[in-house]
Amino acid sequence: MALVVAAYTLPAVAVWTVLGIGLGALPLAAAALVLTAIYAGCFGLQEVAGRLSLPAPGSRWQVPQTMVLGVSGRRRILVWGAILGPGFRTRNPYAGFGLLPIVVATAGGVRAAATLAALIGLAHGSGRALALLRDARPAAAADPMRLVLTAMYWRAFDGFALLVVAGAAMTACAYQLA
Amino acid sequence: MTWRLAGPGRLPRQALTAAAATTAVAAGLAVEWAAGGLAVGLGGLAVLVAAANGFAKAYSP
Repeated sequence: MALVVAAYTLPAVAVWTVLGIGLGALPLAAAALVLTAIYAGCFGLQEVAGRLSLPAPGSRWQVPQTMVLGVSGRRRILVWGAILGPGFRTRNPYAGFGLLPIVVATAGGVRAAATLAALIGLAHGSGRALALLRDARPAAAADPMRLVLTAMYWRAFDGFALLVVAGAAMTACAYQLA
Repeated sequence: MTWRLAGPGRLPRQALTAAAATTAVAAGLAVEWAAGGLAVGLGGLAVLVAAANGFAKAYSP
């Protein structure tokens, strides 16, 4: 269990921290704040309404079988963790993930952006690992219909979370203008 | 016992969705206002979104 959590979390923190340093060094904070409000508002409404006219931004790449077949269990966990923990390379079904780099850019300053990005990496990587550990239990047998329903609930939850972020970003914009 | 707010003879589902969406935006406004507009609330919300997205990807068909 500790290996799984570490394999997913450490690469996620490292990749996100590097991204935070890069974004924090650029003068993007004000533009990113406006973009946060627009992105979160548009995708939040779309996910809450269940009308997915705009696909969530992301990659369609999947981990090649050659990277995980015929290797030891420990190495397979490390490969999965390094790729899936940060969350950039594989498909993101919900729009919330695409918002995260934009919010990092709002931090303004390398230290603040790197800290926020590291926390986001920690949260994403550990969330991914905990979901994996939860599903690894024998009782969690896959039921396709239940999976579809659960995905719908998660999409609605993501939509409401995005709307909360949109509201927060609007207030932050108003504070900056005042 | 189960009960439903939306459905025949009850509130339309769209009205409930619109009310919930408005409440979500208002909650965001309040969070950031309470944080003094320092983007602290925004950062905290982003961390929660990251954790939820990481966890929820396991439930994507």
